Amino acid sequence: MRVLRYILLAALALILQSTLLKLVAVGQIQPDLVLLVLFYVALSEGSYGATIAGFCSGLVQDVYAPQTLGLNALCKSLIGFGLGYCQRGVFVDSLVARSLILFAAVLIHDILYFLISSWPEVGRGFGLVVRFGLPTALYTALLGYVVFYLIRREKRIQPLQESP
Amino acid sequence: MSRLTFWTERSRRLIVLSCAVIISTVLLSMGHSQKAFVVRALTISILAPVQKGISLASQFWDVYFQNRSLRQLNTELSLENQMLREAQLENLRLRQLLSFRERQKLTSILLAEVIAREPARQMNSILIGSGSHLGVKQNMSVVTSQGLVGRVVEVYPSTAIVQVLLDRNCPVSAMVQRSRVSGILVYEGGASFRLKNVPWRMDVVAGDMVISSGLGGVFPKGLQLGRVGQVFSNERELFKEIVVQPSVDFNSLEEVFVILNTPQDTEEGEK
Repeated sequence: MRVLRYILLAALALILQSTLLKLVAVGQIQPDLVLLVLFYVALSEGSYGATIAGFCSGLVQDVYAPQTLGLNALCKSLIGFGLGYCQRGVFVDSLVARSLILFAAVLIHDILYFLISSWPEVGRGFGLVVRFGLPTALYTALLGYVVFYLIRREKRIQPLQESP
Repeated sequence: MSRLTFWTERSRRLIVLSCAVIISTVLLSMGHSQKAFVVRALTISILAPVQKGISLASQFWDVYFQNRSLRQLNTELSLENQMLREAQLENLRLRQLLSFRERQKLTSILLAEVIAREPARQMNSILIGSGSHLGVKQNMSVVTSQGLVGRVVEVYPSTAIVQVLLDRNCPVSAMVQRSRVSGILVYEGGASFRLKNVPWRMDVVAGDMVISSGLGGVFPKGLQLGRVGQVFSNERELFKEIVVQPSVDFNSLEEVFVILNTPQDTEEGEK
């Protein structure tokens, strides 16, 4: 049941990412909803579930990027694994800390994505990171802060459980 | 046992990660192959309908605002169109007045706006927005491009009252333009005039133009009054009964000309 919820959440994030998010775009910058959901999955499931979730959601995103099939799956698998792996040691209950971790996750994801996609033009990749990666990470972190706050208001976020 | 469990869990995570990385890398290397195309087509065919639905929902939002702005624009353009149409009609009327002035060789005429009508059902006077300050005097003739309207009966500094021909007390000396037969044009109610005092032997037929003869000393000669509609003649009667349709549409008067030189002035000038 929990898995089904995550799948639905990821599907919703993917669909929103490709449709309604243009309404809240600032210039060309949109928040990365998929990574936000991945972060939430990592909080709840740890690295095992987050890696699978990252791979699946990334793979679906890749469908729309014919040139780089597998790249989103790779980046999101790694980010999901990383988030889940360091969940126990780093994650705290503070909203600001969670937003900062989300910011770092999105930034690392975009660094990986742009560097690999523009390989061997590393300079161009870094240019894209500065132009798109940084603002996207900032926007996603801000959105994440609001989402975490709303979730906490609805039901107090339970202390993180140690992954099995 | 617990160590074994920990090792198993850890290796499970690493195995999943390794699988994900390997599959992703393989997919990356596949590029545009047929298999990648099949995977892509399958996923798109599943997700596309949902995306289309959500896109439509977002488009409704755009359409709502677009509709609002278009309605506003439509109203503005409609108002502008009405004003332009009104300006075009005014332009047409003024052009007709100008050509009338040139046609009648009237050098001293004054354009005046009709600012009020007599509120009574039987319209027999109008108020014009030009008065003594602009040289309007009593008994001056008032015309439009269609013909004679009436005469000024009262003058105020900035306005004047014009008695129109649709008044029983405003007879006009008239003549039939073609046969030069004279008579008196009077209004007896209804929508038409009567041309009186025309002997039954005189040559008047339907369609003849009736103009002012200038004999009464009030109106200049040659101004159009109307066209003969019906002619009734009876040998037992001395005079014909002639119905004349007015050439001026008295219900749509908006601008008129006041002829500033009265017939008396002209006669005095000639002497």
